[in-house]
Amino acid sequence: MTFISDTSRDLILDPGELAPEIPQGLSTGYEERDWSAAPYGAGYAAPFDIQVIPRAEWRDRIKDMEAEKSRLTDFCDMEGLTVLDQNGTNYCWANGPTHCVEILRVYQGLPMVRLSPASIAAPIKNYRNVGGWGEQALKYIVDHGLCPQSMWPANAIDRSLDNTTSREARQKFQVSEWWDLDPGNFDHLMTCLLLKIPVAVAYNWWRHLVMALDPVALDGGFGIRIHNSWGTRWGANGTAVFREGYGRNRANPDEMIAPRVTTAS
Amino acid sequence: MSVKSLTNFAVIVLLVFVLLRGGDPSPGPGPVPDVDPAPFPSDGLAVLIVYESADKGTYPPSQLNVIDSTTLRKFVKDAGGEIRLFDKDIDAQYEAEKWREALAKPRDSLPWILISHGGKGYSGALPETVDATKELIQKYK
Repeated sequence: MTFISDTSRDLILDPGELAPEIPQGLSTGYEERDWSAAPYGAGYAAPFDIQVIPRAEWRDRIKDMEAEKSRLTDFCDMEGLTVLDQNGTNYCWANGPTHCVEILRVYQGLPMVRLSPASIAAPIKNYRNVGGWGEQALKYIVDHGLCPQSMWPANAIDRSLDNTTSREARQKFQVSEWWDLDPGNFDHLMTCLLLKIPVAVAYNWWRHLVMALDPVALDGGFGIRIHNSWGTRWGANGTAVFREGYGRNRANPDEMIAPRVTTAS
Repeated sequence: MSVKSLTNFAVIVLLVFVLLRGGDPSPGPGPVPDVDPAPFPSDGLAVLIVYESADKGTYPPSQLNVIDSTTLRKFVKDAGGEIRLFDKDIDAQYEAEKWREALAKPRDSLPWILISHGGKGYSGALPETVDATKELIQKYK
């Protein structure tokens, strides 16, 4: 019998189920990556260069993950790590990579620390509330790191927060290894998720970047479970499932970055 | 004592040595079965699993489950212990000294496990299942 994931707690979004406009009070901020300035695999981020896990293995591996409670969702549940809330800023492109770092820390057994997306987005954009893309955020995290929210509130666009103390603190929250995934390549994305590597995924149709954390086995295909950055009031406690495919409410992203090792601190 | 007697004595001593070594049960897979001294200093139970994040796709799925298991983490934490799961190249300069020491220990292969609790411990290849890993840790709880 074909294994199908338990999605009783999920909101599965199919084309047409999500209004094309952004829900009132919520914001996005993804700007399509400038592929000439930041080409796939030839720019700052290293290309995905490992063997793809064959589709024939996906259902069995997902079944094992769910039985062993080894999905990234299970790590979030274990530590009480909830979705971020960009709260009206245009910093979705920083929220996704930041949440990847938060989850990677928990996965590595490090203490859970809530990190500030604005601590990278604001300096990158010269303290303007404007959009960007995932690779920009990743580069800043690699070079400078993230500040804890205790030191730099999650959505604070405030130049005074960039000081000697915060610059010293952010060195403890950097990324040292990462991949750039081939845009739209669902097999790359699923391979990372099957290996418990969170992926920041961006969608041009949505003008939005979110974080993919689990592979999901669906009736007749596969999907991904995402963490949005709209707080817990959206979707199923801030999460949703997209099915494989291109276009609105589909899973194949237009940009994907996958940080996989963070600083231990 | 004649030369023959000396030779017999040496053979007996050698046999006793081999028998004693051979009777030592191995705590799990891996080439480093010694339990003392602990591979790194830690008063409480401390477990470090070292792996290569870029190679995770090549690990057998059951062994990958060990690295990824929330139940294993809970097993260690419920025993009052700490657990870390580090890529071999992680920047650990801000971590507690015990983890830096553990990470610096020689390894024959990856993934690798190091366990320390008081004076006892273990350093060897990571067992291939969650249950086998729990059994191994149980010996040092």
